[in-house]
Amino acid sequence: MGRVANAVFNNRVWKSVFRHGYPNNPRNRAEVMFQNVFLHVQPVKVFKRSLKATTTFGLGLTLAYLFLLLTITGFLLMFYYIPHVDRAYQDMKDLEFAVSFGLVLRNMHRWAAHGMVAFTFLHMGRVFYTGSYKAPREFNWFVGIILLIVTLFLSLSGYLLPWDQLAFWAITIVANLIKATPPEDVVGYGAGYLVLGGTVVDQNALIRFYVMHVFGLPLLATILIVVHFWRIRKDGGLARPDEQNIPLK
Amino acid sequence: MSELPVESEFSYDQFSRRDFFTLVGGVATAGTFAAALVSSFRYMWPNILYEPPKKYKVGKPEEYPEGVNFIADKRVFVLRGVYGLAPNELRVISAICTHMGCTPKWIQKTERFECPCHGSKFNTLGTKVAGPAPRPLPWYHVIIGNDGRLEIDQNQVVTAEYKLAV
Repeated sequence: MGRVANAVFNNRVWKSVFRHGYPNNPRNRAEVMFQNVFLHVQPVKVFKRSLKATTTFGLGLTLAYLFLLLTITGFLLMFYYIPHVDRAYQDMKDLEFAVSFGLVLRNMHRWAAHGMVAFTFLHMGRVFYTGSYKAPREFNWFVGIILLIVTLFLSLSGYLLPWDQLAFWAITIVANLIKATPPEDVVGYGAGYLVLGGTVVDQNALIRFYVMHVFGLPLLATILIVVHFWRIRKDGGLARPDEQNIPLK
Repeated sequence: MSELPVESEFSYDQFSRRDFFTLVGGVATAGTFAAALVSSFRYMWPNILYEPPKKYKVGKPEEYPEGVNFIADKRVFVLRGVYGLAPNELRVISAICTHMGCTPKWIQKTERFECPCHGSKFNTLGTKVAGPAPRPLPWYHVIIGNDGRLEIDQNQVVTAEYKLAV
């Protein structure tokens, strides 16, 4: 075993990728976090209280994983779904009944999307009740609010894509909500015209919602998530109970 | 290169309870990802195609006069009454170059099918006479359908002698 490990870890190729030694001492364990682009999201050292499951319930991490899952399943669904009024519904049905594993992928995407909305509210509830929105974390709370709105828009835009009765009337109602923005003849009409690409829910609306769903909003969400994660570290790590006042059991 | 630094509590030779659970967890995770990868590749292999059929109907025989007729949307030539055919006889040849799939053009002056992309030339038998094409143009099976229209089956390649009397 030692010889195999030595052959794998102790050569020029491995050392060109991982420039630190084997992480079996404190220094190398810290270097793993410093030198890996994926792992450096995490701090080198964490507080015991942050690790306790009930401090955060891992709700934010769950959201990050759901977003990743939605990106991967969404990427695969795009290979069969064509955002055309004559094809969209049929393509959705084909995914369910004719494409191998299509039903699994569609349902993974659907349930992860519902989950993302639910977990966003749970995550915000946790942040609120633990007072984690307070200074110095006010800005990250604000970024979180924007992420909530982006999540809801992602959910809404995805809802139109099956192009069934549920989708059509949902977007009709949302469009009329937008059109009710006062003053209705100017702002309401203009906003509705921009969102739908016209005055009715038709091909223009479908392609607009599709492009926002698969590119615009995910890009915005990714940028905001990066800022959100970065600010957790910069604002002093995960919020946790005061060490002095409440003893850790 | 030196041996790895090994602290006293760490050893490759002892298989601890922690090592066991790490291995079980690792195998389960790897298995999950492998299954997801395999099913994703299967997903990418369509079960139903919406491509135009390889067996299709075109016009009635009288719509194709003597000579070489090009059917653009199907990319075939219908030959009638020329090059060994009686006035009531038909043949159907592919208009897809066997080199890179461009559409050869019928040139009456040279009596050849000439491909504009890389200069392949085919004679009236479909045989290549110039250019890079690796195979002759295929001839397709053609019959008169029950509605009187020509029915071409691209799945059935026939010899240059095959002809349909109408």
